[in-house]
Amino acid sequence: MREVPETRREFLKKLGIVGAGVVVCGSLGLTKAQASSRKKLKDKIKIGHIAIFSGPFGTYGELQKRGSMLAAEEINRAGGIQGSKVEIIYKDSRAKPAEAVKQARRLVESEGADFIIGIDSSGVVLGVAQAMPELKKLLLVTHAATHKLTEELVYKKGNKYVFRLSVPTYQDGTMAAIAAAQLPAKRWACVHPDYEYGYASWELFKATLKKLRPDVEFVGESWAKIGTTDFKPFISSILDKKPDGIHTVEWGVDLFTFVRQAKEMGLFDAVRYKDGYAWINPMGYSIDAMEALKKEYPEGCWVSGRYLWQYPPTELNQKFVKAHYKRWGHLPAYSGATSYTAVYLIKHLIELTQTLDVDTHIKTLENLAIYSPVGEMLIRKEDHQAVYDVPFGQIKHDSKFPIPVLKNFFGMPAQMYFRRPPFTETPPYTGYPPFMSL
Amino acid sequence: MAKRSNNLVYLALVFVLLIVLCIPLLGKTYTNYIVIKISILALYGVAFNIMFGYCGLLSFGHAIFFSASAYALGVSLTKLNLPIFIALPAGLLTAVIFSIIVGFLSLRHKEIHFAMITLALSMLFWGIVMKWRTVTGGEDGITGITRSLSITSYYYVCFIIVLFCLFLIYKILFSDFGLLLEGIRENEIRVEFSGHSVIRLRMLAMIVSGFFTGVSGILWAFLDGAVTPTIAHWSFSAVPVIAALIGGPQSFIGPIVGTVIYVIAEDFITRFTLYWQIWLGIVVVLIVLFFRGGIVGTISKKISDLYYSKLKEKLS
Amino acid sequence: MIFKGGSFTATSLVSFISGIGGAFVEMVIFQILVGLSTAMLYWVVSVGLTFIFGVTRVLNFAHGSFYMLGAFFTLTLFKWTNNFVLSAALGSLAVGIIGLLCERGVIRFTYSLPVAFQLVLTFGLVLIFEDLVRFTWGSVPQMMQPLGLGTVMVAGRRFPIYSFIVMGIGLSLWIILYFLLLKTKLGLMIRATISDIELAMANGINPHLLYSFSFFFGSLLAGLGGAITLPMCSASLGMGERIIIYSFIITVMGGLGNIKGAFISSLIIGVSESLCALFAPGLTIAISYIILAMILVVKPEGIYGEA
Repeated sequence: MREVPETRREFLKKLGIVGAGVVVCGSLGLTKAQASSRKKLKDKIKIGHIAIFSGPFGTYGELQKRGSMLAAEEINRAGGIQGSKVEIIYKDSRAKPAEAVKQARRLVESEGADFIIGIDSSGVVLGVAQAMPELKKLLLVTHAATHKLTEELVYKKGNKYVFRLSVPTYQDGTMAAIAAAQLPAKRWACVHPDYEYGYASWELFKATLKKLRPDVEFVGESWAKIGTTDFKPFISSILDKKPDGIHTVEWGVDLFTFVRQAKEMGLFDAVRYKDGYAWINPMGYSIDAMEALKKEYPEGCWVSGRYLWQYPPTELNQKFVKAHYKRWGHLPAYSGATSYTAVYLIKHLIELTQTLDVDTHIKTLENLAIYSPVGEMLIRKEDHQAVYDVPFGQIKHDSKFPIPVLKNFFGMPAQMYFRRPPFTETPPYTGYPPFMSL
Repeated sequence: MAKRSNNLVYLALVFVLLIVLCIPLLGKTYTNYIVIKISILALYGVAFNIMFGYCGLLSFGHAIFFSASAYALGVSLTKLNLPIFIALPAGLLTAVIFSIIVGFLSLRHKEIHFAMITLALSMLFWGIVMKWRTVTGGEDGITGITRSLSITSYYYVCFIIVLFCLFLIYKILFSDFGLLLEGIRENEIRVEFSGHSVIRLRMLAMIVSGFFTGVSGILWAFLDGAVTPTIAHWSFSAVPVIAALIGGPQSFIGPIVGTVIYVIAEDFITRFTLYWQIWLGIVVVLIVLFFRGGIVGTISKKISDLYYSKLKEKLS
Repeated sequence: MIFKGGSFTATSLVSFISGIGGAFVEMVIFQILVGLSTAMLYWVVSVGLTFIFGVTRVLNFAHGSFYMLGAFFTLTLFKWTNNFVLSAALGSLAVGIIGLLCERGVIRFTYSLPVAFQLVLTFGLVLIFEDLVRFTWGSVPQMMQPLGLGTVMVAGRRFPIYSFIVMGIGLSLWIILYFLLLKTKLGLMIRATISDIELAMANGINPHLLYSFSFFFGSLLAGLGGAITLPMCSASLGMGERIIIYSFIITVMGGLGNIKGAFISSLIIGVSESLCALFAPGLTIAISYIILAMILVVKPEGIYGEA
């Protein structure tokens, strides 16, 4: 399996995109002396963090909170943002768009929030994004994955207030297909949650895989509604199609159920090959799944996430992982890492621009390259999507760690598999994006 | 009730209306937003209560009418690019069509069956909305319904529309037609024997109820600029039920009071804690247990009890 | 077709027509078997709801919360005792007691009120239980260790032995209820109350005891359903909301208060969802609503009529 190419850093330099964003997170940045010499903009910089805190996906709010709260505590300990204290206000979106919009409005108009971060669910983010131009505040999305957000709302319709710091469905569909193309499997089937995210991921997967491997066929599909407790009918109907590869974007509590039942009924065995299982689960390495399933998730399955704590193996990331583990007793989840990045990005923005003016922030963020625990991110101007790569890896049970780890990382530079404006071509691309002038 | 207390009621009403009119002057956009939401849901509650309080039929299907009009509006504006003076009637017409369909399938039956059929139809409608992605956008819904009015201007627009609709409903319910509906609620057979067709009356009530529910759906769509399947889910049909019960289903303003209490309680509670469910649950349980006729029902009963006891004193 | 998916026509018809009828039949039979095991789980939970309604005329929304509590109690008890059967039994019993307490403490004040009040009251209880569970166990879904009972080959495919056990529990419940209702004095009193409460009272039956018993028994069954589900999936918040829809559909479809109706409806729902996953995967989310709507429009009292 290919290693992550070395040329990434060189490539970024080649693009000439240095921007002003060198390092965002951790203790690098302005020194305390420098910070205190700058003027304080406000007593408190308030950040509204909207996520799911109740219901079956209530874990996700907790996972996000761990990241942003850690960042706020670190920043405040080091003197805040130029003397201003950081305060994060948490609100429950209940996975309902109208509720999230109401909370966003309340945070900005009634509780004085300067920024909004978070949002777990794709359906919710589209609704909240719509409200941001009226509120005239930035929304930094840390989890919700629908590519409609960036491709349609930002790029086509010009909503400039929304930025996404997490990888979208490109990871779940396109990158998954690139990983799948390396495997010997030829008959691919899927078991997906029955809603937009499932459809979008499967469409992207099929388009890319067909392009890379014209010899594969798609033999079956199963759509399980959210909250399915019995996957047996879906598993058996898929087994009947005799696949040798499975793509599934099941996540959260449904994933736990699905893995347990799939194992029992032999779905994993059906897709076994010499070096593991042809089982592609893009959200498989989310911390809640790993902590719940632990050794039950078979070794050799290909999983990924929107961030993997083991990657990138940089000092900054390791520092973050250690700090997170020390503070919470858990390894960081992907939405925790992106939330942490969001808070630090806000700090960086303010220090850079010396103002709270939204339009200045927007101009600064566009084409900003930053370095965070998640890796090197380029925030694209056209669709406000942060471009960074996350590899796939194979599950490995290692008793040294509380949860399984990953081995055999397989990745690709993000610019090769993230769809590019005007979003008409199917990745992967054969060349780097065009040289850009600033 | 005596004429004097009627005048008091009118005075109180005018007072409340003046307050509502002045709220935007405070300049707090979030308060405006919440009051708009309350007014839309209050209209929803009153429209629903035509069936529940006045006809005595518990309907779980009102989310169908609410969301059908909202989706029809959304589709007309964003996908078919129709101008607003066509999209609005299209939305309302859709709500009316669905109320006729639902009414046709459910109104012949007894109360509990009516409730169950409307529940089943509501769940079915939600399923269709979720699956018919090409039209409804599936779980993502429809976004991009532009208001082109600021929240403050929209506040006044909603206020006028909701007030007008409430006035119309009031006129309808306090006419002979409304009396007939209440008669059906109390004694169906008697009304039938008087020569009226019970089922036709109920269907008319359903259409009126569905129409005004449709109005609230359209106002909702413009508020957030988006329509999602949450408003088609049967649990959204439960919102006016709770409002009507908290406020009191036997009065006209009951659902309005109930909506105000429910929305404000929820807003207040979530401000302070992420454990909002337990407090809201306790509030709901306490109100059901201790305010049998709803807040309005209980208060008006207490007032009339007081009045009659005073009258008794005077006479003895 | 407006619905997504639909490997219906292509695969199965072709193989049928080309004479590999045997493989097709095997596939369908296995899928029906899978559906039956799901149906039995639905039956265990729904019969509690219909039983409570039959006796008390209360549609208990919090029935789903009891299901959730059953799963969580069993999970914790299993951590302490390492004995699943004991944990499930004690867990269900605890839930039964909680149901009884709810009835005595809160629900009994609403017997004289119309259905809407009871629904809203029990909805309030749902909210309360949801937060209580979140406070006690946290918001992270929790799994117990797999029971590891293994599988057995049926029609050339692996079928979990645990699913056979679930089917066994469902059938045993059917037999127990049969004896309870038809062969015991308590059952006689219950049936009398279900069919005509005034007459039953005139014959000296104390309805309050029966109401309490029905809430105890029905909630116990809900808790048992949760306990049974636990080894197959997890204990999580919001699991009550998912099962209550099914319970309502099944209860109403079979006829409110009708136990035989609940059994048949569970079978219909379980098997049709399973077959739908095979032939029309995109339709599975809606099939139970479609069937319910079709039945109710034709026969609103449900398949067997009300008790």
